[in-house]
Amino acid sequence: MEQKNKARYGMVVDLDRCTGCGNCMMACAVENNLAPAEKKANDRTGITWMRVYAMNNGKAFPAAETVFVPMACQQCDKETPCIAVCPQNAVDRDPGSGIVGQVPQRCLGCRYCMTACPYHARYFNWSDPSWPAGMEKALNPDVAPRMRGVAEKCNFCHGRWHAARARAAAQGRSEPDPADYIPACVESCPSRAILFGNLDDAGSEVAKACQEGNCFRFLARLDTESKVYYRSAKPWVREMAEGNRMPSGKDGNLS
Amino acid sequence: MKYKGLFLFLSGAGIALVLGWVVFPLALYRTEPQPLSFSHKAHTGQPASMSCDSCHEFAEDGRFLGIPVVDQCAVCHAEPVGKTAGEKRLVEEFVKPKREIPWKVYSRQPDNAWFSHTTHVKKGALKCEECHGDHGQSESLRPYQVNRISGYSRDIWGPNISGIPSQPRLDMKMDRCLGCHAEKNMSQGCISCHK
Amino acid sequence: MSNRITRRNLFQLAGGSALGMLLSPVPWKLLDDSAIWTQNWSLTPKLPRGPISIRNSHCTLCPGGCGIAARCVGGHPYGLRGTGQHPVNSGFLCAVGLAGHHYAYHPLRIDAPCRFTGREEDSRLIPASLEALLSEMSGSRNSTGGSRPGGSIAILDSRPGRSVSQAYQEMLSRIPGSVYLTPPSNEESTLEEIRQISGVDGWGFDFENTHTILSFGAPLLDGWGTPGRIARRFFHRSPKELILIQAESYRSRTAVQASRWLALRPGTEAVLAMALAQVLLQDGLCPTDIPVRVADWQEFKELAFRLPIAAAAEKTGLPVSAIVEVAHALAGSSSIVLGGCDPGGGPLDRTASRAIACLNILLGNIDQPGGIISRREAPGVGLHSPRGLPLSDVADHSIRWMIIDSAASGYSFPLSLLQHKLMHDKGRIVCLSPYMTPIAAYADYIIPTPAHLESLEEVGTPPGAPASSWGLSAPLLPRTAQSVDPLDLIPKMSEALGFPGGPNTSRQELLKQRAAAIMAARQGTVFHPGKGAAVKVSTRTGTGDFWNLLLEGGCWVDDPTPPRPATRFTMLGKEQPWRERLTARLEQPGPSPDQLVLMPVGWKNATSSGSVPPMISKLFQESDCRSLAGTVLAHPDTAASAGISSEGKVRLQTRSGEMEADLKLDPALMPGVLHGAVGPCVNQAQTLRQAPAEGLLALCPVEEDGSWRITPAQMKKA
Repeated sequence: MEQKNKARYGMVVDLDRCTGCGNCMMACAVENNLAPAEKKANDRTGITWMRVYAMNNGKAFPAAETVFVPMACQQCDKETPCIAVCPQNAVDRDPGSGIVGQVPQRCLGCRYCMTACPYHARYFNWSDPSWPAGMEKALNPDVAPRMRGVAEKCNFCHGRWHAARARAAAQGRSEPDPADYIPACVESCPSRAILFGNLDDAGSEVAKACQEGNCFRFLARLDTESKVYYRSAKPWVREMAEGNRMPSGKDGNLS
Repeated sequence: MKYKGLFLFLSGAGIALVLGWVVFPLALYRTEPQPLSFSHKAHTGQPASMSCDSCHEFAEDGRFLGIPVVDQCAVCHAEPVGKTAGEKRLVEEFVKPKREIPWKVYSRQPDNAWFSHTTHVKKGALKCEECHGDHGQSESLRPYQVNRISGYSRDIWGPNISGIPSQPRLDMKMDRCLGCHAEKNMSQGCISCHK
Repeated sequence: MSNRITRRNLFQLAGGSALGMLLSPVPWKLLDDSAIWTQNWSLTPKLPRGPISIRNSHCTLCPGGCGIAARCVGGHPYGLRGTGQHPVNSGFLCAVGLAGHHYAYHPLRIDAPCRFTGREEDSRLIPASLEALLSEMSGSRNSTGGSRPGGSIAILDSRPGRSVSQAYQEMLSRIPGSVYLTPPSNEESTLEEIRQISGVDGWGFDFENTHTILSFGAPLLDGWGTPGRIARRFFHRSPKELILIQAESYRSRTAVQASRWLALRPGTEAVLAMALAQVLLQDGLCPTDIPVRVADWQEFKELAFRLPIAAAAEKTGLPVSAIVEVAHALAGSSSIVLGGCDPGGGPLDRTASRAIACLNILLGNIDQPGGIISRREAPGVGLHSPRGLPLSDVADHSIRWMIIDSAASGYSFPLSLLQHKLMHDKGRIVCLSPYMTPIAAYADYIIPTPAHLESLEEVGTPPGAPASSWGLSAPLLPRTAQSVDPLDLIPKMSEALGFPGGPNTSRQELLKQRAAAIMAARQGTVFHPGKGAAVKVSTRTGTGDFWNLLLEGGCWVDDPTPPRPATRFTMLGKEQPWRERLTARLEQPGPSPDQLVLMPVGWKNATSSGSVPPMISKLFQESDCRSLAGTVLAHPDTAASAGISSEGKVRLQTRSGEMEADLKLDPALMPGVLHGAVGPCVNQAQTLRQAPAEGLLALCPVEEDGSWRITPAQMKKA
């Protein structure tokens, strides 16, 4: 018999190690069958399940400092805003993994969840996704493509989670081996800025890291108990995360 | 005629019922031929007496390999076994040129469903027959019917056009998955089975 | 009783039918099926199905030499990652490489020889043919005679050192007056200067064992060299701590992470390097054997003391204390000083590179562990020197036929550089490229070649590597029928030019010969991607096994090269041309405070000259992660001084011309400096009908020293 609540997957992102290279965004887009931008897409209408924002400390040259913030779905555990508002049950919290999972095929496109999400981590298909001719052959067979008029977001690379579960079953284990379930952004990060694992497993790297002093959550005051933690030794970064100033690319641009 | 109205009403209903129950299924589904005739019985019965997973294998990484590739057929069918025309076609058109046989898959699920045979068979101890019925004992491939609107195989909806499951159940829609999951206290999370 | 059918009867019939319908499966089933139809109509692609496998190969987008592991469905790649434990990239790729398998489907893929009718905006793409190219080539041979000094036929090889390069060189060696060119930007510019100073070839950076790195604007953590190598050294801090000092005008992605950032005024790199040299000399921080080994020690010393430290500090915009501290930090442990080159902004000027190289020698970094170490070439078969003439060094207007092999180097250069080298009117450009890049659009003949991962390629030693390496990039995708292998084209071009009998070996044969030569040398190790480990090349390995292993993503890495005995150096060159150049640089007055300078900036593999995978739109167009081409960044004060208070359209003017750009205000930039983003055309909606534009690089004239980093500019509101 399967036990309930056997895992609660989460992340710790070390902002002091992030170079803003964009590997996580690319790896995510390739892994999850995101379509390249349509002609008029911009930073508001584009789809990037993982997005790197550049934040600065508000000072001018040479005191200006920049931090890059990779932000995907924060996987809120408590009173998850998108789940609370969805009229369609198109998003739920998976009891076995804690993953807040979006099922786009169920979505009716009201975009209520996008309004509710405090992290702007949800994206909408304003048009039918389109790939350059022939590129459908390069789609990941483990992730379903979406269609026009539905919302989507990061599901912690659920395709990889499925594959890891199947592998575990083949080996007679009930839980995936942590080495088999590594989301694409984590795998591709050259500076190893992202840790991923089971927050309920006291021995895991993430469970230890999220307890450390420099660890914080974005908009912690909303008390949604997000499962994506961040870490920085810089006080101004931790203050920023309190949400008096939302991360925005408009605030700081590095070419 | 006193009952003309009733008669018309009933005949309208009758025509609609005939259209709906008899003509509609014929119009909704298109029958497509399988590329070759195939007898499961010839493989699972005597003398071959192979089990399902002799051909429908599980990979080490937990993926179910589904319909065997033509190389697997070639293990026994490198040369025609027997003298039937089908045998000859199998060897000449597929085995020798190493061309995959374009089987129509009765139980093909949509792209957004994730179903792990490994999990269900190895961990859940489900028998193949529980979902696939006696397909493994069939003498020949039954006609493959495809829904003209959704493009799904008829097996997903089940043989009964009413959608009321037959016993034993042969349909493969989500409510059957959910029912079984609920019964066995398995995960009900959407993302558990949707990709 | 009447047989008349009344209106009422019709309603009765319809009502009955409606009831019957409701009791039949028709409405319910149609509702269900049409709901499903909206999920899988033809606009949503079907997922590929098939057996899943992993195929190992190498990325050839830049010379970084990264091992890639492709997850394939039915043999077709759908996802890439770095090969785990790979000796070159340690399992990491860059963002562009991660989508490398998408290149084959590029919307600007060229499938037949073609050309644009002109270089104007309204020019059209028209078909061309190989035959037309060859007949024009053969027609041209009488008029030029092929003997003009400076070369009438040139091949610009963006990736020197390959077997194809060898074939190019063989072809050119038989044509008098021809010239083999390499692109102007190069990550090994510091090593190139050290080669000239020492007269010895073959150097690499020992990042793995160094303690301190001073980088003059090299984007070390943003794609430089082999990204995985630098990341492993920097972020895994093994075996010992690394101090990275980044000297450049803005807090770049590398500067953000660096232990120390020196906000260096652009164009004063040579001044800082010489000031550091002065501190080293002043405080007696040079190893004792260096004065003996430097032939022109006195001359160099005089030059180093020419500018007082305080004056240097003033020019560079750095405090004196910072210069002194950095010099001491470099001298206190093993160190490397390296000059950068922005993928969009091009190389540092050579004077600065020379000063940086001299600094390394002064620090005793040459042939020291953790410094700049000897690196012998990989064994080869009769390879000509891979070194060609930099494009910028060819005489202007001397080239009749410019053949560009646009195997991208990841770096871009202004097209005006090409234009200046071509003969007036008669000059022709032939571009071998799978995609329509701005360079291809500029060519007179565009010949389609296989796309990335479509043909068997080789992967040589990456820039700056501590040891030579060699591997193969086995094709992961089928080649399209229309693409032409450059190796097949060379004999034809050679013949058309009147020199028949060119190399006639197949690509596979050439590479097999090279593999056999490497095997025969019996040195180094071979990495097995399957095992994730390397084994010594031994007499037991057969050449066939070695070849097969290479085809499966194996990689040969040479053993460490033993240090050379006391190399001698001539810092300022035999005729001391560098004395004047450095003097001029030191005495050059600083820019006037109100003069704006435009610096083109870009990101390796995603600059305007090359091509990018369609998915790169995620970083450029669909987010603010990186700046789109045509964006100009400026400090708010800079904009205010030009009378601009808000973001929006501006006009930029330099002596090369005028262009519209999107201004973004960024207080992190140095006042007075404009950063012009030299980015890719990212939109997949682009079509072959219109030539991709060169962008802001068109505003940057190439200076006499071969650089185009810094251009005086004016900005006004559009």
